[in-house]
Amino acid sequence: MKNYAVQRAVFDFLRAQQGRDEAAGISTEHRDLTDEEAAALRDHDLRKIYQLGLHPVLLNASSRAIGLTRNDYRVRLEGLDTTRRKDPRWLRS
Amino acid sequence: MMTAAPDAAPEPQREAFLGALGTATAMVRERGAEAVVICSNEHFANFFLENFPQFCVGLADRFLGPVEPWLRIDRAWLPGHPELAGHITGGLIRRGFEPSFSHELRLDHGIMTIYHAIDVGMRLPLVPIIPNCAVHPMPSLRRCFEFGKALRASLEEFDGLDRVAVVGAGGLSRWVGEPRVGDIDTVFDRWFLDRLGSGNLEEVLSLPDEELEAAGNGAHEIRSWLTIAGLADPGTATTLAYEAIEQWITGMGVATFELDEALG
Repeated sequence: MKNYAVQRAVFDFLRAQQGRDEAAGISTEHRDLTDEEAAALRDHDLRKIYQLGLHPVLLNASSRAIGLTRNDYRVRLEGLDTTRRKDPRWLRS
Repeated sequence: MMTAAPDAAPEPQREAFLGALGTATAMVRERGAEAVVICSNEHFANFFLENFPQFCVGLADRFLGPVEPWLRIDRAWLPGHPELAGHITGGLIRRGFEPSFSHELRLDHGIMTIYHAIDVGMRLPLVPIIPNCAVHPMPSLRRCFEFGKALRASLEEFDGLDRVAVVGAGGLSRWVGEPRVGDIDTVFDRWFLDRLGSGNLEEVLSLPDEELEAAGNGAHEIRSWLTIAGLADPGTATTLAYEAIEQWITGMGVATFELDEALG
């Protein structure tokens, strides 16, 4: 798991959201983040956040928290898939 | 999604899946379960990366759930079974596992949707077991199968109850937080269910994570199914339903397993 600080910033954001009706922003102060990482989190730049390695469960939950649907973030992440492979064993059976 | 947005699914698919789930959960009640062990992944509801367990057993005398306000299940305290949970934990340790344990677990949709389906009144004592199905590195599929065997042996030693139901929940194929969110791999799902039913699991148990992820990151949750397969008698899985429900972004399956005799 790369970029612990990025993961932690989003996790803390989600914990802080619990019980709130409106989303506050992701706090980037006092965290071990590069300027690029901090900007991506503040702007909720999904493509950048995904490329920074944010855990997908956190990406899904934080997107929901700011009002994005799964279709919304699918569109924003288009072209970034690395999981497709041609030969899993269930296609060879 | 099945509780958060049931009507989003096409009625024939929804009825097929929920009908099968109703059949399976009714078995728990009709067979007189005095407690239920539910094995299911969680989604950062309790654990984060500073200290992440591979398996965690809930020892509390009660649990609060669900954490998600959008789940459409009223948040409530539900009873645990500390004696059973403690016995399970000790039995697993004696058999070569080192599960974590917690006296304070918050339950998310992984457990709550199934528990609520089993007992809408939330009175049946619950022992939650949370395997890591989401954060690499995870226990191997084979390890989870072996965990199920150790779980069965531990349960069979327990004298405090006569009938305990054991349920695994998660998966099947789906992508969450990924560019392919919304895709479902029906070929994988049917391949998996077929091998579960035949008991011919070697092809499944030998799957490396990198290959399994070709069915989506959500497919890692078959670990809970394989835990039950390890616990149950081989080749006794019966698939009651499988529906690829696009609106729920998941391949939805229900299967039951059999044991030669009641536990205890």
